[in-house]
Amino acid sequence: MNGGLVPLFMLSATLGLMLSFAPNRLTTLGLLGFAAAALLALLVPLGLSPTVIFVGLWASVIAIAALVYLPAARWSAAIIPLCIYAGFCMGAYATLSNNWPGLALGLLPALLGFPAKWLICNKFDIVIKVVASWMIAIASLSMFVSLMPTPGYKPDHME
Amino acid sequence: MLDKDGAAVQALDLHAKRAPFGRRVETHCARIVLGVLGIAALVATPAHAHDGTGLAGGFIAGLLHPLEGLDHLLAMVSVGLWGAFLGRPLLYALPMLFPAAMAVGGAIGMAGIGLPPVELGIAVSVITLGLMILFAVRAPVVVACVIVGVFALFHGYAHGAELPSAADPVGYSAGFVLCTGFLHLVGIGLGMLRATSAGTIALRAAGGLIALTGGWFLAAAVTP
Repeated sequence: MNGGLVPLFMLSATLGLMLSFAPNRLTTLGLLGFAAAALLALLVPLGLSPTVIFVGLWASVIAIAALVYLPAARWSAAIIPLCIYAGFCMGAYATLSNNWPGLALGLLPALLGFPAKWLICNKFDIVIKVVASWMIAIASLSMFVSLMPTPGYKPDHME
Repeated sequence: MLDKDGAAVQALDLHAKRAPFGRRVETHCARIVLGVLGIAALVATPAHAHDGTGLAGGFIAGLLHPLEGLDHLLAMVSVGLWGAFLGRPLLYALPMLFPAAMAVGGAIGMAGIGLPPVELGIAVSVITLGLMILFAVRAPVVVACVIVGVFALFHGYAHGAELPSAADPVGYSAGFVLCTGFLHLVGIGLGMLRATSAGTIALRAAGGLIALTGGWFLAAAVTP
């Protein structure tokens, strides 16, 4: 299982897209909670196994992307805990790969939430929802493949 | 041609009548999309649909994988095309449903759970989607979602079983899903041709060709 910074970017970008549906105050609070939790998890190693961290990270991508379709994307009770959980996943993943600069870079895509607000204001929120569906698919496939490794080199279904 | 379900097409048509420049842009976009699709169709060969043994496992491999198989390529473009015929909300609901159902199929494939012969399912999906476009079938939302969801399971199953875990599954999955989404967008882009009666005829004829191609896949799948 690898992927370098891709999982961090995906989680961060998905969180940004979800936060674009929230009021500005909640967006800012969510981003701060996300960054703080990530730093905390980096400073205080949780001692989790790689599989738990990978599954937790992909599960958070799925949960956050799914929230885009729900009214809960505007509720603080759903947003703040999810942001903190996502931050812990980010920090734990960065700890696993011992990658401080990667964490700093990985937090940046969360800022996508601000331009995404423009899409929502202009009634193009469907673009965000389509991208969220792609995130769910990628995260699901990545999570399953980390849990159930496949040979990957079997003859093709048409061979 | 226009009805409540085809709100997107209606809006497009009105837009084209009011703004000739917009119409020209749409025509250019449709030409570009047709060109890309044509090139993709030329480079795709059914016999080499997913060179399963040659999966390097990175982002580019995942991105190219759906383009290398005419069966998947046609099915995914057809989903977008049919969505354009169906109008809102299916115009965007189908392309959102397909990746999710495909991921479920992929998980089933990875888990090694048996499905009916996958190549038959994929061939039938191409035939069915082609026929839906040919006859401009206006299926109810639930029915359309079930049809596309079931077919997406087969496509996902095929790829799940072939997903390389050795190299970079995250990059591969990302490339694969993004390409699938791109193919849906190509289908939706082609669906803009519905704004004209000639375009509608051309699209429905394309649906017939897709169904015929699916029949060819089916014959190949059942022939020992």
